[in-house]
Order: sequence, then C-alpha cells, then structure tokens
Amino acid sequence: MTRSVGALVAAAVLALLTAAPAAAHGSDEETEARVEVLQAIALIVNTPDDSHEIMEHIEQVVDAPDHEGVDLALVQEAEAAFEDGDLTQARELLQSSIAVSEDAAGGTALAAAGETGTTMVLDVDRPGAGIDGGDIVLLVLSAGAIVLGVLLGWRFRPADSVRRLRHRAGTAEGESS
Amino acid sequence: MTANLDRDATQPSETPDRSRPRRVLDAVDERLGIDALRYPVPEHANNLAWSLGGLTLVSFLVLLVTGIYLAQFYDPLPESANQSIRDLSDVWLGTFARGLHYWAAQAMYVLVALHLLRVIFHGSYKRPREANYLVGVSMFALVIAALFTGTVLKWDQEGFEALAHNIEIGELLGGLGFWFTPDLAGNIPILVRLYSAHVVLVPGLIVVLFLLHALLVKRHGISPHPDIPAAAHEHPEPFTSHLRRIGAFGLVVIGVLGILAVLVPPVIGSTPVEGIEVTKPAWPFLWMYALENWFGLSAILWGSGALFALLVLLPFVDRNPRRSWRDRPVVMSVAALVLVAIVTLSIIAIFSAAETHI
Repeated sequence: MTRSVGALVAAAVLALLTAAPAAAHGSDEETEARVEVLQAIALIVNTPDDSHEIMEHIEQVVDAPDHEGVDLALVQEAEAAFEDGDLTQARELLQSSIAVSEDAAGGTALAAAGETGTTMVLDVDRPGAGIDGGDIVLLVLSAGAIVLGVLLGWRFRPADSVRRLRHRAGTAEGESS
Repeated sequence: MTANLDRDATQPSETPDRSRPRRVLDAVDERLGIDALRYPVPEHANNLAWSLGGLTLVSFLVLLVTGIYLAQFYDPLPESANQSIRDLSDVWLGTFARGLHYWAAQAMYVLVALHLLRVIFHGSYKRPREANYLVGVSMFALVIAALFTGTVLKWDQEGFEALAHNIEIGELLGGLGFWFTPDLAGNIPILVRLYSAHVVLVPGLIVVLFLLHALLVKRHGISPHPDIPAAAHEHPEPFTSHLRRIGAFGLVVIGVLGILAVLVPPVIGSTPVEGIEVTKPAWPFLWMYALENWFGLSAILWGSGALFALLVLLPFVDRNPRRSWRDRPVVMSVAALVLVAIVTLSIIAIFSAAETHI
C-alpha cells in the first residue's frame, strides 16, 4: 500500500515537473511567431542589407508550430515580396500580419516588467536638417551667449595667468635659495 | 540700551552713503548668509582648468531645466514612450529642448571626466581631500547612471538593447543586482522604474553629493597648484569671483550646446523589439562594448568595476605628498594607460559591426 502511494506521488511529481515546462514552452511559442515577425520588421528597418537574417526570421514564423496572433497568409505574401526584393511591401505585409491581440475585456494588454510594448515598428526618426526662422533665432541667441561669455570671461580674468604665477613662484624660490 | 543689546552683533551698521542695491544685498545677506560665499580662493582657481567642476554644474543645471520641461510631455509607458519623444516636434521648443538636454548630457560627461583628470593630474585628491575626491568619484558614477537611464528612456532599439544588457548584468550580480532586473516588480514596466531613477533618484543624489562636495571645497579650500606651492605668490580672490568666471565660461558652454541642439538634433531610433541586437551603445559606453565583444557580457562588469576600483583606491595607494605630475610617475603612467585603453577600445568599437551578445 505504502509502495503504491509512493509510486502515485512520484508519478504526480514527475507529471508536474514535465507538464510545467511543456505548458511554459507552449505559451512561449504562442507569442514566438509574433515576436519573430516584429524581429523581421525591426531588421528591415535597422539592417536592411542583412537579407539572410531577415529571411531567417520570416521562415521561422512560417515554420512555427503555433501562429496565434499572426496571419500566416500575409507572412507568406511578405516572404514572396521580400524574395522579389520589395522591402517596403514585405514590411507592410508583416506589420499587417500581427493584429494587436486583445484581452478578454476588449482592451490592449499593457506591457509589464521588461516587455517592449511594441506593436508597430516605427522608422528611425532623424530630425530634419532644414533650418527655419525659429532655428535662426535660436542660433543667434546661442552665438550671442558665446560672444557675451567670452567677453565676460576676459573682463573677469584673474590678474595673473598660471604661467606668470608659476614664474613668480620659481623666481621667489630661486631668490630664497 | 536694551534695544542695542537686542540687536544682532552681525547686523550691518547703518551707513547713509550705501547705495540701494548694496542695501538690498546686505538685507538678503543678513537673512541668508550669502556672504559666506566670499571666502578667499587662490588666484589660479579662476582659470579654465580649475573651473571644470563648475562647468559640470552648469551642464547639470541645463539638464535640470530642460529635463523638467521634457518631463511635461514624456510618457514613460513602454507602449507610448518612443512616440511621445517623436511628438516633441509638435511642442513649442520641444525639439530644441530635447537637443539641449541631449548635448548637455554629453557635455556633462565630458566635463566631469576632464575635471576628474585634472584632479588626478594635479594630485588634488591628496590629504586632506580624499573624502571629497570620493564624493566626486561617486558623482561621476551617478553621471554615468544618468546617461545610461536617459539612453533607455528613449525606448528605441538602442535603449532597449542597453536595458537588456543592464538586466543581464543585474542577474550576473545575483542578489546585489535585484534592483536592475524586472523581477523586483513584475507587474510594473522596468521603464517606469528607470524613469523614476532618471528624474528623481539620480539627480537627487547628485544634488546631495554636490552640496557635500561644495561644503568640503569650502572646508579644505581649493587645492593648491602643484607648481605654485606657496599661497603668498598669489592674490586671493573671493569665491564669488570664481563663480562669476564660471558664469562667463558657462555662457560659452550654453551657447555651444544651443548651436549643437539646432544643427545636430539627436536621433530617435525605431521602436524596440526584443531578441535582436542591431545597435551599438552610446559613445561613453563603447569601450565596454569592445570588451564585451572579446570577453563576453561579464567583461562589462569587470571592466567598469576595475576602472572604479582604481579611482576609489587612488588616494589610498598614492600617499606620496608631492602633487606635481613629474614626481608621480607610477600614477601618471597608470592613468595614461587607462585613458589610452579606453580611447583605443572605443575606436575599435566604432569600427566593429554590431554583434549579438545576449
């Protein structure tokens, strides 16, 4: 009796130990396809010349066992577009393939802990190089601050430079010795 | 008679020939004691090299003002942080304020590093200034922390990759690194915690340490110039003259920052995606990145730990009372080696491709 209870407990523990990682793994894969799509888009945005890496991520989406949150047909269209060298089209299709998953309450789940919260990969934003009237005013004010600072720095300069103080100290030492 | 006894002995005497501004200043001084700032400082302190600490403070003040302005529009939630920075272009002076904040942060790092080098070069960390030197080194660490958290707050790919490294290093530290991992508060985005560190914890500690630093400077006096050992060779000036000169240099710094903010506004990267590494860190961290490329993630910890261990140990190891660099060949050689190593590693990192480490 004791032995059979022990066996049951051991079996239950074994089942728990094996079931827990399996569930976690399954949960990871649910989001993995979606993450792979985001990674492929981020690579298109940041390293568009690295086609091998981009294609690898798209293929991993296609080959993933679970595509929850991802429209596989659109990913396959994106793959074709990417193979044709149309990065813009591929990026748009990949972005369309990941609809924002909504929780039971109908709202968007907020990011927690170290999650990115990214649902759409935005381009790198380089502020325009053009200069408008406001910029000219700011440039003039900044230049004015520099000129005023230099003038005041000169006006408030110490009576003796470090070189002169050093020389004076050296002369005094020479005289005393 | 009683009325005379009740008067404070420090109260300025009533002299009819004093001008109105002088009387106002005296009234303020009577209540706030600002005259304490007129303590004598040596003449050499009014030169640029001895004003680098003050200029670091000027950069910090620019950061505080622009930071308060930017905080009105920044959203620290991961879903919207990156976009809220992009939206600054729709805010009055938003892009300029961000540019000024960004360049003031770079300036603060450069100026505090130059100040530290000046202190090492002139042996200003020596007795009785060891404790104040350590306060300064702590402030240097806090400036780096401010730069790091600021990088993450952009919440772009570069910032997120920096954060991922931070988390991994926090885990390498085991229990000591608990604050740096998301495990501390699993339901709170770590970005929100880093935001609180960036706007409250780090600048708050800098302010506290700065006050201590300034009080200790007053207590010990500004360090002597190694080549001008006798104060008799210099005409002492009040500390307020030193502040006035720092103000003049500070105007130049602010002007340069303003021009940079307009002509070279900072970039914001793409919204972050986990699991990829396609960027390199901000330039102050590049030397650590090169070490990481060669020796793995833990090299960041050992490299930065070794640098700060050297800085902290310096006044306890170098007990030679001489301050001139010519009389301290070992310290000067080690300092030069560390500096060359940091610059070389940074250059190597600039020319190396982004690599995956995590």
